[in-house]
Amino acid sequence: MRKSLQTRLTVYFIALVLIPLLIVGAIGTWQTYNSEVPQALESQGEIAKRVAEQVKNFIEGRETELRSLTEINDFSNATRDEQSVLLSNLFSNQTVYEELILTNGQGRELIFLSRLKVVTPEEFDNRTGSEEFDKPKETEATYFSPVSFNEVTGEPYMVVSVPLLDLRSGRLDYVLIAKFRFKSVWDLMGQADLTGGGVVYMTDSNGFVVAHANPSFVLKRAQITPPSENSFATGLSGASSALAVEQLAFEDQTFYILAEQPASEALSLALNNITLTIITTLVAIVVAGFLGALAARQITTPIAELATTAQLISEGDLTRTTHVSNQDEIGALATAFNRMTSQLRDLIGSLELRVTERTKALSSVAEVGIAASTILETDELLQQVVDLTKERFNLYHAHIYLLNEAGDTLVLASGAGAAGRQMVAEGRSIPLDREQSLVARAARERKGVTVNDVTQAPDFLPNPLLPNTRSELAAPMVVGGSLIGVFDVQSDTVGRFTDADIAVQTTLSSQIAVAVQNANQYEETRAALSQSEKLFNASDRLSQATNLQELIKFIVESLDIRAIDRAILGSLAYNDKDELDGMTIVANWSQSAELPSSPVGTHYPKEMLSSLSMFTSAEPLFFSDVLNDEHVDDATRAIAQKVNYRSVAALPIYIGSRRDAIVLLEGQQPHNFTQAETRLLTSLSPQFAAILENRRQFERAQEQAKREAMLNLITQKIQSATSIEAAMKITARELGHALGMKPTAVSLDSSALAGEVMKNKENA
Amino acid sequence: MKNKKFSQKLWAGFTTLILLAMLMSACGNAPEAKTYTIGVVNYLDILQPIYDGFKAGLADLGYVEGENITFIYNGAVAPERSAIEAEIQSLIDQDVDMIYAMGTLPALVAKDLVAGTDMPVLFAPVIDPVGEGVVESIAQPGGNVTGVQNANFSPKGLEWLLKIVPETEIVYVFYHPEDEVSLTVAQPLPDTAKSLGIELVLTTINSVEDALPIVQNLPAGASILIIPTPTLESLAPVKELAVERNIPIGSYEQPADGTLFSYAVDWPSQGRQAARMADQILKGAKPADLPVETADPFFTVNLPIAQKYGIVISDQILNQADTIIR
Repeated sequence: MRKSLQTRLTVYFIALVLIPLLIVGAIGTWQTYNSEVPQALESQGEIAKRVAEQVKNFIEGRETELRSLTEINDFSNATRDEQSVLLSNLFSNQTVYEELILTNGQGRELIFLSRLKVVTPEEFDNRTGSEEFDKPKETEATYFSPVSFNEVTGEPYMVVSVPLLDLRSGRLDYVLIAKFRFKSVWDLMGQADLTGGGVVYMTDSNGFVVAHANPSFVLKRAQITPPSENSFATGLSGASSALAVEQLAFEDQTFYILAEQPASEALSLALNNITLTIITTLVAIVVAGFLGALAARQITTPIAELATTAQLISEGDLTRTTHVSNQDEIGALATAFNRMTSQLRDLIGSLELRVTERTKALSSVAEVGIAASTILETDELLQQVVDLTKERFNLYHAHIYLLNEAGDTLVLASGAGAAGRQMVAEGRSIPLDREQSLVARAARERKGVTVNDVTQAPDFLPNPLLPNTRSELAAPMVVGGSLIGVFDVQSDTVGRFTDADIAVQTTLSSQIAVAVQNANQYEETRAALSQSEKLFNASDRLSQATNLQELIKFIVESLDIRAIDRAILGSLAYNDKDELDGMTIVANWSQSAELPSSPVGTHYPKEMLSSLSMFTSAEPLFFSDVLNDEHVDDATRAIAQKVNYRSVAALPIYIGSRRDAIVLLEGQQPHNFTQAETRLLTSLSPQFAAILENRRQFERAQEQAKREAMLNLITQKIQSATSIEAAMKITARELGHALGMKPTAVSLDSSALAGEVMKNKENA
Repeated sequence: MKNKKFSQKLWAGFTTLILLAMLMSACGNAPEAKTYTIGVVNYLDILQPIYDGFKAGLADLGYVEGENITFIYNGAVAPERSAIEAEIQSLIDQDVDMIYAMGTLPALVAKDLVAGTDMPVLFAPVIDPVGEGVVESIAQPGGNVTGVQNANFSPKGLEWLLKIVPETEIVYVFYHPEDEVSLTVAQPLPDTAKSLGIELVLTTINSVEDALPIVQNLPAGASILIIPTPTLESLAPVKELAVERNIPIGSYEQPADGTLFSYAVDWPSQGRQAARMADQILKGAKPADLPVETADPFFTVNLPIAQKYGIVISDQILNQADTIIR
């Protein structure tokens, strides 16, 4: 369980008050105690002394009384009746005496007065042998007996014996024995001026209580050991008490007067101090607790309210505010808290707005991205992107620059709206190294850049087609680390673009870049496929050619280049040294009779060929416009002017490692040979060579077969001859016919028949 | 609203604690606020002065009837054991804090009925409580019972009769044969009379009416000594007849109404003495630890009666009187 701040503050407050209070209280109580202890003992000591004096006076007064009775009234010389009257008068006047007994010098009782019992003369006894007679007789001094207790009443009594001596002889005439009850002494105890709760009592030498204001202690023979000095000890009541003792002595008898006051009373001031301290402590606890709770409440209530409000806010209720009105630090805290809450609310609201905007932006990005990804035609894609971007992001303008193949210029590829299309049509471009261009800078730095107030940009160049542009953002289009262009958006609002917008547009530009690349790759793939199809179709057509004329024709048709209107196939000839010796046109093609190509059989000597790079180049050559191409040599340019062609492609055909033929494609109009076209033509070169070689071999095989057939025919005719002569004639005729020679002479030499035949052949 | 409730609670707690603290401080010195109930059983109207003294003594000790002490006292019941038993049982049933038994028989009955409980019993007066079996001893009563006894001073009463009327030749003493008190009191008188050299006649009577013919026929020189006989309601007719016949009559019972003198316990004083013991019991003292106290005898001389007899009482005797009725 969480300890509340209020409880802790209250406890601290109470502790703060109590600790010094308890310390002061303890010190005060200790000092009071130390001063009260001797005071209490002294007070009890004075009481004990005072009461002891009273008891002493009382008992000694009895002795004095008895002595006076006998001395003043000439008691010894009085008659028995007179003595009886004197004693009776004393007995009547002093009820303290329970019995008064007069004995003669021998101990014989002469007069016996008793309050409680009837004693007749016949019952008079002899006291000889009793201490109350013997002691005064022996000592001639007053005798005080120990305290005894009445068998019937249980009450204590004491006997005082006074010897009556003859003044002349010193003889013991009488002994007056007085038995008096201690009840009168009890009264002295009861009459003592005692302080609160105190008692005073008297004990005999054995500690038995013989006088006490409460007779019960006497009657039940309560006993206590008198302390040797005044001190705090266990009193007669059994409680710790301030106990003072005063000793009394009557001849042989010793008594103690004890004044006792319970410690709780004797030390009442100290105890009151403790009580006062406790009460003060309690009151202090209450007051401190009250004030502490109040103070803590004043502190914790607003804090609790703050905590509650914070809790509610943490649960999402941002409308909550505290209502703490304290004009103190907590009030300041509450104010700051409310301000913070308000800011938090605004911030979260702003965040939500921004998230919404961002979501919307990302949605737009996604939408644009999806649109971009579904369009495979680059120009259409780019146009779609800028138009959508402008619309979805509520922009003033958007356009895309693509980096040219040289990588040094950003060419405007698409632009939103009419202005954009117009700028595209104008072929606007930005050199990559232009310092003042935001688009170029984004491309160079490969990161999104903004100018949020173009009017403040010193190097901003106003575009008449976009007069309301106030802020601009350019994001690089990068794919795989390669820059392909810049996506540039513009707003007619100052400060329109934030870092978030940069991120969004950069993301979008990346997607556009990917889409563009995909579109490019698609086009390339499609082109490659088309190329392959063309190549396949060309190969197929080429393979179907039955002669070189068809072959050259099929080549032109397979390439399907409209600008090409003429074509020739030149067979290169080499001398014995394997040097180019010349070229003979073996096949040609022309689009129309008005524009004939070089006729078949046209021979070009090596001197002529050597000055023409297109005949000597080991690599295929493509000239878009021979007349305007600086790389074209003058001889070629001259021939081109002569035969009226401007575009030309020269494709050397290799058989083995030797350049065996050249295919020359010519066009009257200039033509930029595409990569596909050059690749297709180049790809056809080996196949063309193979077909050409096959054709040649086929032709050679046909020739060989034709010869062999002729030889077989001659052989058959020769074999059909019936004579050597006939055979010889036939041989000569057939050979001459076969070899196209007339006349043919045939001689027969058996040893050289074969050699003769060969000689004829060679001659032929 | 919440703050208001808190403040109210705070103030309530604060006030409560302050009052508690004040109460605690006050408790240290204030007497116990408990109200005690004392059940009183009496069987003799003449003992009423003891009860009055008892109440006065308690009042002196700070007990105020109706405030911190309540007495359940239905007056003297019939002097029969059954009636006394019923009365005491009723008090026990009411769970009184203490039973005050006035007289020997109520004390004995109360002792029997409270046996086995912790209900204390205080008696006053009882003559010879040890002998009567009310307590085990004077110093250590034991049980639940203690009180104030009356010592038997009847011999001394006889002596005073003879001192005041020395011409007395024969003394008549009336007693009830079934009255334990009168039997106890009368017991030492024959020996005392013998030692004093006087003739004593102990006469059994069952009612006052039985005594009257005897008094009517007493010879000259006869005197009468009245001793307490609770069984008999009142001996006033006897006293009146004795005075009428000029037969000296003394009394060993209070008060000295119609007699020359009385030598007996002063009942109001005895009641006060009992009240002091009651205070100790109510404050927790055990009766077993409270010794039986003894009431002091008082000597009262009734001079108008003496004048009727034509007796002059000497100054020596008057000097010894505690009270002189003039």
